[in-house]
Amino acid sequence: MTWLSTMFISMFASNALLTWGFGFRQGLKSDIRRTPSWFVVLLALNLVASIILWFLSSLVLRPLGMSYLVALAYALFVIPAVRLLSRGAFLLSGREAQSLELDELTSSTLVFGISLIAIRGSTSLTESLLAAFSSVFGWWSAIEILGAVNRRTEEGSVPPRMKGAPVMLISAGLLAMTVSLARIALGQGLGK
Amino acid sequence: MKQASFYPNPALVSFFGLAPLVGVSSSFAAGSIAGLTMALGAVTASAVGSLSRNRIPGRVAISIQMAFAAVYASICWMLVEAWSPAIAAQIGMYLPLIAASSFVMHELGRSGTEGGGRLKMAAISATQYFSVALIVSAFREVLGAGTFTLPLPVYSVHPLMIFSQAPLPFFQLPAGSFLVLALLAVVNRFLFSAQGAKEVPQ
Repeated sequence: MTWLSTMFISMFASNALLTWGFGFRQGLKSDIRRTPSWFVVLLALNLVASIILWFLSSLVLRPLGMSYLVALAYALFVIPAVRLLSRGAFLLSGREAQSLELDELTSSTLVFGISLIAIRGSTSLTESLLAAFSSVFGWWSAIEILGAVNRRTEEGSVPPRMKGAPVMLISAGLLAMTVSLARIALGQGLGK
Repeated sequence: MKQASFYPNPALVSFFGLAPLVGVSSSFAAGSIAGLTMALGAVTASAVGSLSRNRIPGRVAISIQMAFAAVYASICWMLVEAWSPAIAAQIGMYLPLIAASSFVMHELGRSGTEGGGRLKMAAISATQYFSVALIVSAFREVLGAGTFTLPLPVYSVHPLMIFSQAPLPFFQLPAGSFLVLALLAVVNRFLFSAQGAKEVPQ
């Protein structure tokens, strides 16, 4: 797999939110996405998570023939490490409220999904990092689009019972359809 | 209590635990087992949280919760693997995610409730989530694949043939799960309104 295809697959075809449903709630409900630096922080955390998981998987578990323990190792080591890191960083900067929001984001699904996807198809650390970066960007794009749709529907003439969750889920479904098309197109383009 | 039976639904209102519903609900067998795992995890997490809340400092409690999530995921993996290796293969990678999400979901029952009330709210949320998982996975498999797979303790899965051809294969895609969830969210709103509530949950 070339670097370009890794990037496009992580960003579109295997979009963390639209294909796997990771971080839907955290992205839409949390105010953290509205802060200017959240994307950078999220990206940094995901890169760190990918590095830790790659080392655990490639250098420890795979040589020992225990690759099936990757998910458990993730839950035991990577999530707590990333949570501690994010909380420490925000505490040092005096923004405890944001650290709690990011806590929820990291501990629930997003980092898990991104790292999982990154590690699944990656053989080298560079490829894993590229996949993690692209996944964050893809996830962020989907969240921004859904956020914009939500704002437009709040102001528009949408029936009250359709506002909020139903509109968000329908929008996510329509976006997921385009992602599925991208997956098919990429699959054919890559000869899969 | 009557009102709580419809509000707040963790999946349809608060978007809790959507990943298992999107990722593994294309088969009824996998979706029902994932839903059950999540629901039991939420109740367990609530019980652990209630027991440890006044005894353990908040910062340590987070680590303990994650350790419980890892242990819970491991136990679930072993049980599902023993029950049906075919289903375990479908949801195996999701189990740690489900366990972690369960421990986040129990936060839903924390606000404004104490002790037994919190556990009751967690049980209601868990039941609601499990119901949604059953409906979404049944809907997706029957319409998307034309089959229905029961979560039986077998080595290889043998689905029941409902339609000779899949009526709407689109529902097997992730987009299909979002649209089924949207439909359920609208139904949830109607049921909520039918109970006489003035405000529709957002």
